[in-house]
Amino acid sequence: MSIVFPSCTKVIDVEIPDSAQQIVVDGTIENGVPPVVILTKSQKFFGTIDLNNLGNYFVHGANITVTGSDGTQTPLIELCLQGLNLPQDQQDILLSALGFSTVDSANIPNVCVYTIPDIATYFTTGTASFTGKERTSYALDIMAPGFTGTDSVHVTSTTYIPTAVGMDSISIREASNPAYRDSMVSLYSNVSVPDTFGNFLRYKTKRNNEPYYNPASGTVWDDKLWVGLQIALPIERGQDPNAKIDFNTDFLFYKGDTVSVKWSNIDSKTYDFFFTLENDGGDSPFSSPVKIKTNINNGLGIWAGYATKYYQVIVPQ
Amino acid sequence: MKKFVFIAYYLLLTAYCSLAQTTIQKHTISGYIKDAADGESILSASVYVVELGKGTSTNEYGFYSITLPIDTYTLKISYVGKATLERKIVLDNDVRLNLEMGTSATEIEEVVITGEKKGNNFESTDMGKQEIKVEVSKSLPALFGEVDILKTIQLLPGIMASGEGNSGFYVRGGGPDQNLVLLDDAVVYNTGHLFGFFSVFNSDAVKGTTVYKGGMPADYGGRISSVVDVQMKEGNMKKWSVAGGLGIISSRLTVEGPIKKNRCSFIVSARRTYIDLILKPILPKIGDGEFAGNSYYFYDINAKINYRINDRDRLYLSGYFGRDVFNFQAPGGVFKLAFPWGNTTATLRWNHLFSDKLFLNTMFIYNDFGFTANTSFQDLKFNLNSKVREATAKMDFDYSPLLGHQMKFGLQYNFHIFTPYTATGSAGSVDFQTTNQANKYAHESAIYFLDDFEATPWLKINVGLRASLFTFMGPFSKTVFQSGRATDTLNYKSGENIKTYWGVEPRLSMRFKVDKTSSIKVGVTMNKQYVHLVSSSTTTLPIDLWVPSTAVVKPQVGVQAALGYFRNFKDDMIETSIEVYYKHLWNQIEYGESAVGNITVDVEDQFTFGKGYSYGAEFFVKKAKGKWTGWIGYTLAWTWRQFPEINGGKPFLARYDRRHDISIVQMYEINKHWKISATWVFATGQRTTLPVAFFLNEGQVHYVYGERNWFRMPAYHRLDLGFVYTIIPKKKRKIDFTSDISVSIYNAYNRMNPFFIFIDTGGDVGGGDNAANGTETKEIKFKAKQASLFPILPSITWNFKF
Repeated sequence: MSIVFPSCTKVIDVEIPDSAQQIVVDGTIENGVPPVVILTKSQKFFGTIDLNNLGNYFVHGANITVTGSDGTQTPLIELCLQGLNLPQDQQDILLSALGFSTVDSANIPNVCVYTIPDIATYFTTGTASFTGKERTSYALDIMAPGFTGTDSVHVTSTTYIPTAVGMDSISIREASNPAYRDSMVSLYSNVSVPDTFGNFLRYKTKRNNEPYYNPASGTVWDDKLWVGLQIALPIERGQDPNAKIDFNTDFLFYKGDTVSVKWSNIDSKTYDFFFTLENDGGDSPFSSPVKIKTNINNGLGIWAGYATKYYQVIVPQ
Repeated sequence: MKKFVFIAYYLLLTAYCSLAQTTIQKHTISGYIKDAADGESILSASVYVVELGKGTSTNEYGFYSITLPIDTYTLKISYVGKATLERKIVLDNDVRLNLEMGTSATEIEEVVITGEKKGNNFESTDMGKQEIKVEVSKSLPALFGEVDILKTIQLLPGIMASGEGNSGFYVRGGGPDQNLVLLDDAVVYNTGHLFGFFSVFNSDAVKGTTVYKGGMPADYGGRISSVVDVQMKEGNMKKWSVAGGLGIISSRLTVEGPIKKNRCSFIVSARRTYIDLILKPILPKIGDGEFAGNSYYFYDINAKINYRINDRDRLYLSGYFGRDVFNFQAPGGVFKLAFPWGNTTATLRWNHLFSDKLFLNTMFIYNDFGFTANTSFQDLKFNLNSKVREATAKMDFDYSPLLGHQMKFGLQYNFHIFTPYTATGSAGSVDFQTTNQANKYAHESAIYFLDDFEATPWLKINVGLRASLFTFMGPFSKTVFQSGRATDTLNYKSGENIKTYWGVEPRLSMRFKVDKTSSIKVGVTMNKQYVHLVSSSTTTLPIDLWVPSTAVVKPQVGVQAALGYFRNFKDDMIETSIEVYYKHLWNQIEYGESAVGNITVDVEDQFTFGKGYSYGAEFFVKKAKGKWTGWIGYTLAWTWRQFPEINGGKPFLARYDRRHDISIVQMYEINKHWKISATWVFATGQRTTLPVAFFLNEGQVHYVYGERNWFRMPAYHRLDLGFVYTIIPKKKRKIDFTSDISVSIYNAYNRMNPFFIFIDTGGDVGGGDNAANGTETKEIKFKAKQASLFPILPSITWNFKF
């Protein structure tokens, strides 16, 4: 109906009730990659958040340890990008790994992360004192400063890095709409889905030197429809979340592009987090608000284990 | 157990009826009351014995029966809009008196378009009952000119519209699935076309609607809040007639007439929207043309045939078939969706008179509601189905052993088949499907008895008892998942009893007559509901799924107590009432807080269970007769829900909790050409759950919601105006052609009413698009915005009849 009668909107005043702030974890641990945790606080609505003044936003001074089920353990130390003497390309890698766009490299937001003490070594040599391993659980233990006074908040979580099953191959097919066949193609991932339920997947794609972006219509799949099948599933092109999405070409890839695909097996709780997060349509006549599931005790967000395989394909002209 | 209950019930009934009889010799006057113009049965006409000051009324098929001692009586038969008939009867034998009621010459000048029979408002035991003639709906202004009986009943106190322009409704704090909506006794599972903006009832095919918002008599069951009983027209027994209308979005055509005069007649009524045809050239020009591939239309057909076999037997066959068809194509042709859905009902009824006192209506009913979505996403093809099917056999007896007693008893059996979301698809040569595809089968049966009788001249009682039984049966199989892994498999053989529920549902209402024009009524009813619809939306979405009671989902139970004061003024010209109610609902169902409409899991695994309670007061003033008619209704109400797993277990006000609700409905007939009408509605804003905080993940903003339904939207109010100009031919012609032009102005003062509230997020976190000029504007701004749907909307419809 809104097509027929363009709906009118107007700003209304909403007095937001006070709600307790919570610690938000955005943490990842991937096979062969050191753990990275961003700690923030949930923010009350209807203010203006000035991103040049992130001092109040990030949680500083937390004590964090990551313990693997294989007995390994590491503390995480806090690094703020602006105070960090990392080369530009390494900052870009780190930021894009965290989901931040770095097109505007002159104005990197002062993101603070917790990671292993020898992260610089990892960026220069590719090896580090502590990286994720497949088929291993990782416990996260955070003692963060409280929101008021001297109290501290104890936040815990556990995630699991499953086996990196990966896909069999990527195939290139002509675009379904003839109008775009001159310049664009469709990509398909050929997958052999294990025949026992419980496989979850998350993927991102990247064009040339852009960061990895999330596909707009969702990044996670479960195996309820595909268990035990050898099947070709369409890959959707990841896009800059802050750019306007062109629905005409949303699912297509450009000829001549080098396309990278980050293909990660994840555990059920990581899947639940992203599935609920990506399907929250808010309270409207057509949907109900979705409370985003979390694996964080005493906080929000996700501590995600990724069993990743990377794929690259050059789309012929 | 079932057999025992039935035998006990039969014995009780026989004993009761014998006691009620006395030794004085009596005879029965009985018959059918019909409309003289077209032979349609007149239901709820008053048949009044002047000498005794008592009477009865006709049933749904126009039948009445009165048993009296030998004597001479004057019968007065009255029905609003019809000339009152009087017959003197020497009752020394059983008398069959079939009568036809016509419009009197004096009353043509002031056609009364609404009303009940004399004094019915305060005389009867009915509480929360309203009869709405379709003429009332036709007199009122309508959205897009589409006359809609469900939108008319929303104007009654205690009944609330589910949203802007929507035909869905809530009754006294009950959920939308708790309304029993019947079309010729067939349950209509989805009452809305176009996401509920129009109801499935074509007003040209409808004779009338009876609404019970409380005090449901024992002959109705299976839902815990209300009954909306829609009766289709029977078809003109006297002459052929064609009626139709041309509107801005749809057209209608109805043909009816006698197949054999006064014995067999039929009616066929159809309508179709043409929004798709109007919008076809416009859509490609909107935006970047992204809507070009969309089309939508709906159509429905009502048909009925009835055959009077003899004076004792009559057959009716009626049916409804309606479909909504939505086609969507994403630009670029990557994603396509074809989405048809709709209801089908078929009812076969056989009226049989065993004696002058015992009337039987036997019914066989089939109804279904289903939807299909065929989608394709590049080379991936999906086929999604869901369906609910029901076959019903029902016997309803009307028994009038003596004056002052109107008894009803009967039994009912339903066989339900629920097809859950079933997805099949293919990717190239590989086929796939959802794991849990098994249908759910259930048997539901009920027996009931009720007696509406005058215990003393000042006390009238309607007492009833309904016993119901529900069994979820095999074959059924299900894979049980936990954290995505299959942990168990359930397998039940065909006919295996998986879960049985039963219960008794007492119904009682009493009328205490205060004086000649007023009464006090009290009522307590208990209802059980074995099939459920849980919706994550406020609109009637076709994807909403009906589910049976199972081991996980328990039957909903509702108890309602109501107290009312009824008083008429000025010789029943003005009817007034005040009713207060309290309603308690057990085993209420909602989706869990984190539920996402996931088609690959059994929907009941996403449910959470709790209770509800609501209370309120309803004030009603109605002018039932004259050139100027209408009503004012005001409702003051509270509606609560409490679920252990929602809102941390704290009670919360339901989305449709509305503290104040006012409807003013006025109709005025200026002369035989002009009729004007106006409705004004006011409702406290609906409640909604807005975010109270946000957090970042991967640089993107996500919401943290506050307590359930914590925010109340701005109030809703709207004025609609209607004008009808009737063109009456000056000379009497062979074919009597009349037509009218009906103009409606919806939302006359163009109020921007809230449809929903959304959060507009401005700015961005990750990218700095303004860096080139050296300025830094990395900010996130949040604004709450209200979306409104319908501005002022005039419409025009031309209706004709010959």
